[in-house]
Amino acid sequence: MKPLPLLQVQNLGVYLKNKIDQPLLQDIHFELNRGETLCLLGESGSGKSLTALSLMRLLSPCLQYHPETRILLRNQDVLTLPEGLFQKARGKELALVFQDPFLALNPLLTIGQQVSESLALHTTLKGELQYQACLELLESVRLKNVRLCYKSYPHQLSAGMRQRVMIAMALAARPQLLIADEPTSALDVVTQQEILELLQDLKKRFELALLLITHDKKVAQQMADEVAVIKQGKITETTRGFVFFKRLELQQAPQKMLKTIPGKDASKDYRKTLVRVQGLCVSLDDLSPKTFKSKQEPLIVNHLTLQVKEAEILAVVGESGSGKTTLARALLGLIPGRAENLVVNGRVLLEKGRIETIKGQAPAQLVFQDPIASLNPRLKIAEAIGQGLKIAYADLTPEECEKRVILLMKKVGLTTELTGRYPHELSAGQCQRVAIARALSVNPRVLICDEATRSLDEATANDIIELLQHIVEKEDMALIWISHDLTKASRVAERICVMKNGEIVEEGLSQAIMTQPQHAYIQILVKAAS
Amino acid sequence: MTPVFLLSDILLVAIMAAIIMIFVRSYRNPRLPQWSLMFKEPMAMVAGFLLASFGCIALLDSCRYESDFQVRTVLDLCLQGLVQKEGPSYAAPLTAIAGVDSSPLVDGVITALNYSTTMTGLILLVFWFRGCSCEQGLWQRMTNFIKGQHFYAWRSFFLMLWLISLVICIFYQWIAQYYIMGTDKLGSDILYQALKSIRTALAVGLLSTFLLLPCALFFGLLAGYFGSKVDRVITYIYSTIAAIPSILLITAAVLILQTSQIQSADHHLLILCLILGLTSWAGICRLVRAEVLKVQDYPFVQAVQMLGLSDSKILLQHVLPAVWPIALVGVTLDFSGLVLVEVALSYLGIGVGEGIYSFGTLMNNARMELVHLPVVWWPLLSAFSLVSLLMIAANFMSDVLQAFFDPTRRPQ
Repeated sequence: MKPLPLLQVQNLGVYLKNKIDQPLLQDIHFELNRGETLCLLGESGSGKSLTALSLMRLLSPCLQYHPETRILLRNQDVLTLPEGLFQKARGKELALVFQDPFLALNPLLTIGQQVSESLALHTTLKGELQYQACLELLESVRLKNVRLCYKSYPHQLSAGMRQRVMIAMALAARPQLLIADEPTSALDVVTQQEILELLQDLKKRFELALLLITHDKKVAQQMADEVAVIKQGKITETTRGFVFFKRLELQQAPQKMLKTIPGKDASKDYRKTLVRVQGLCVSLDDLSPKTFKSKQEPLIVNHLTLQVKEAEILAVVGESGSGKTTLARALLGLIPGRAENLVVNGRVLLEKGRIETIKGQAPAQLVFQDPIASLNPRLKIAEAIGQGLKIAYADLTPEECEKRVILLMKKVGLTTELTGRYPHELSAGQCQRVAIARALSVNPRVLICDEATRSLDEATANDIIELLQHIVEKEDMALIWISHDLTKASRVAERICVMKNGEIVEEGLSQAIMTQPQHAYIQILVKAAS
Repeated sequence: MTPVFLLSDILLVAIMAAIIMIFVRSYRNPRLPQWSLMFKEPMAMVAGFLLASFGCIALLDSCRYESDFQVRTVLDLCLQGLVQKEGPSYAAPLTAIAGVDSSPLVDGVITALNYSTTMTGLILLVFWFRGCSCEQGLWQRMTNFIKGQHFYAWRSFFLMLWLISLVICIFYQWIAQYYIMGTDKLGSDILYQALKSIRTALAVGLLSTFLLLPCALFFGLLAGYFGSKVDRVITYIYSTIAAIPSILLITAAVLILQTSQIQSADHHLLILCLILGLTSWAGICRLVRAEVLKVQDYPFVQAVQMLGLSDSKILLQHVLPAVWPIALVGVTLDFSGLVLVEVALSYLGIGVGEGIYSFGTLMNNARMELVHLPVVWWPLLSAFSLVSLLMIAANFMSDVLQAFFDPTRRPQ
């Protein structure tokens, strides 16, 4: 006889109180056995996290379960349990790992205190035994130097280490079901890989049932025994993982790939160089006031040299902390530093070998990572774009301004009825288009995109990339594309610089880098991204 | 009868007129944010109505004229019955006036109910009929009204109208026959004193707020945005002000200014407002500065800096609207604080001048009468209930304004 599944979810439905006709989740069925991984795959807003919270009975008080919902944990309906009994099961039977480990850990308590807390709750261990158990737990998630970790605070650990601590806390009471809600999306690609391997390993060792919630198909492909695709609060299909991805590969083949700008013959290249950087150094002391002057200045950007020409896209790729954003800020004249030569769009930013911070208009424009935060929530779209125009053209009548705003909006693919809207009334993709239009309003020759598509879903990101490629080609602009994603960068740009620890470890045409990586670091990046 | 203009009257009327002007302007120009949208919330309607009633009393009390060598206000004219009464000392509330044959209390209430219900009903009928020309019939409009399905919160509006007219009617029914809120030691009417105090409270609150807010915003924005030396100087100034206990500082300032030759009661009041305004901006300034430090690191501020927008425009268009809600909350909380400071100053005998009624003097006198047996509780109760009503209405209004200034929460 087939053993009873650990978790059975039947008819899971969640809706706003008194609005049963507008469900947020609807007819969700799945089963999960011990030692299996189920991936809930869906875009943002599809109800993945809500499913996780509803399994833990952590719904906000304005939400309600559908009356026919059954969540059976070892054949026991958790919804009929009184809250007090279920509270004991939380952590002991089923545990949750959150997306952002920094927000989920208390900044005022040491790691040891927080891990011991869940040990004290669910086990009878005390004193020295508890300490040993805590160290064992930390070791089991492959943290090194556990005694030091025990005593340190969350801010002293890296993001990857924090996520390991979160997993250790979740595993403290040896639960059988682990729910991981986007456990790797706040981490950079290399750490992401390590955490996934750790989860895989722990699952085998403790025979866990793992419910992995993710938007990332690559993560799902690596981890899933079974995949459930969730769309607008409904599960559209549940299949075995290998079947799903086999089919996905077949479907994807004819799909349109992003157009890559062909690399032009270098000898015949007559294009002007718009960005010329030689020997750029930015040290920690440049950024923060000199409270602790160290003898050896730690360099965030270390003797960096690069060039970008007209109508060219250069991608700068590296893991987080490799100095990409600092480079961008130095090019924009936002931070001081040293360089042998630094010319952006004909403006020499150097003064006696030092870069000074610029007052007034920056030599290049920046497109930010978070499109919604980069727009003033109190300004309408037309006003947001218009203020740049008013700087670019000193004597602009209101009517002309309106005309130019509409022209710009058309250029970035926005319909004109959006002029009177506020940013919160637009989608993230539309907001990013507005941000691009605002950047273009002062007619820059150089545009810098700092992880501009990171918070967008796949399809929108591709649209934005196409738009940028089109604009760069048409207006002969230079674009610096900063990203952690090597594969996407290779499709966006014709040349790639790979950065590590503030230095460029490899530079070349994107095809060459993708096919014949010279540096071991790139191989890690390629492996992590594919 | 010749009109008299005092400086504090003119300033108070000007401020209220400015507030009304903002409403009217936004109503006429559809491109501006529509302030009337605020009144979709029943809470806003109630708070607005209460504040407007307080404002009306203060306005009536600010229109002065001279007759028989006595300066009086329009409010005095409305309350003629109260002014002329000279009663026994410490008459409890609702004691019948001796020598006047009084009808029972309930009779007054019933007559008042009739009057107010008829009046509100008539206005309501006009309101229903006026809209009848559009597609909905009279019946439809009435049911909509009862269910509260209106664009604006009209149901709350008429409820408040009915309540307030009821209160006024009862007041006029009883005024000739009873001491409604009792009398004090000298036999003068408490209700009269309490109503006259409203103008003083509003004057102190509004005038000093209008001094305090620009100071706090200006210095807070400069300190937060420009940092370094500007920040250090401004922080130094407000820390110094905040370090001296505010009551001591205010007392010292009042004593210095009042020893000079200015002796009219009106000037006393103005000087008090001036001093209150200039000494209590430190708290809000600190709030604003902290908020600016946070806001200027937002991507949208950095983006416009890179566009090359001038500092003044960035401050006015991007930073100020973002810090405005927090300043607004601070000001409403301070508003009640200012009235309380005025109470404390009256206790020290240096509050508003002689001959001006204020909640401070009322409470101060009442404090001494609490030791009497039986307890004389009514002066304190009348002052206290009016002040709380004003404060609650102001706090609700600031909530509503906050939501209004935030486009994500603004009612559509």
